[in-house]
Amino acid sequence: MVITTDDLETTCPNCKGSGKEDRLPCPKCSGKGVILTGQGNTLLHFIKKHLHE
Amino acid sequence: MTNNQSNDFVVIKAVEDGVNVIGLTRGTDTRFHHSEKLDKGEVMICQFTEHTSAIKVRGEALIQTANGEMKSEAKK
Ligand SMILES: [Zn+2]
Repeated sequence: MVITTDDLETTCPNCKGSGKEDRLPCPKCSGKGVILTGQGNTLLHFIKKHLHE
Repeated sequence: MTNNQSNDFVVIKAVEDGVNVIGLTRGTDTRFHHSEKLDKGEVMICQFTEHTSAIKVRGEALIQTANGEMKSEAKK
């Protein structure tokens, strides 16, 4: 199974990925520029959980 | 949501690759808290919950709700 970046996150349609709106952090994505998918969150939480084992 | 009615869901079928389904938060600030990528033919059944008060669909898709059916279009 191959996971692409698109499967993990979506570019924020409000700031187009810049993370900024009027020089402030984009309110729609909290300044991240991307929105995580369910798969992205699953992978992130898994790695966070086991990273320091 | 306390009175969870059975019709509080939306069915989305992607007509093209890379359709994005984005969930918006309930409350005073409406942030995008979750996204999902659908490839052609993939179906997602979404429920409005205590966390999600709105759903945004980007790309060409067939959408069914309790209020009827519609089609979202790809950006030209
Ligand atoms: Zn943004």
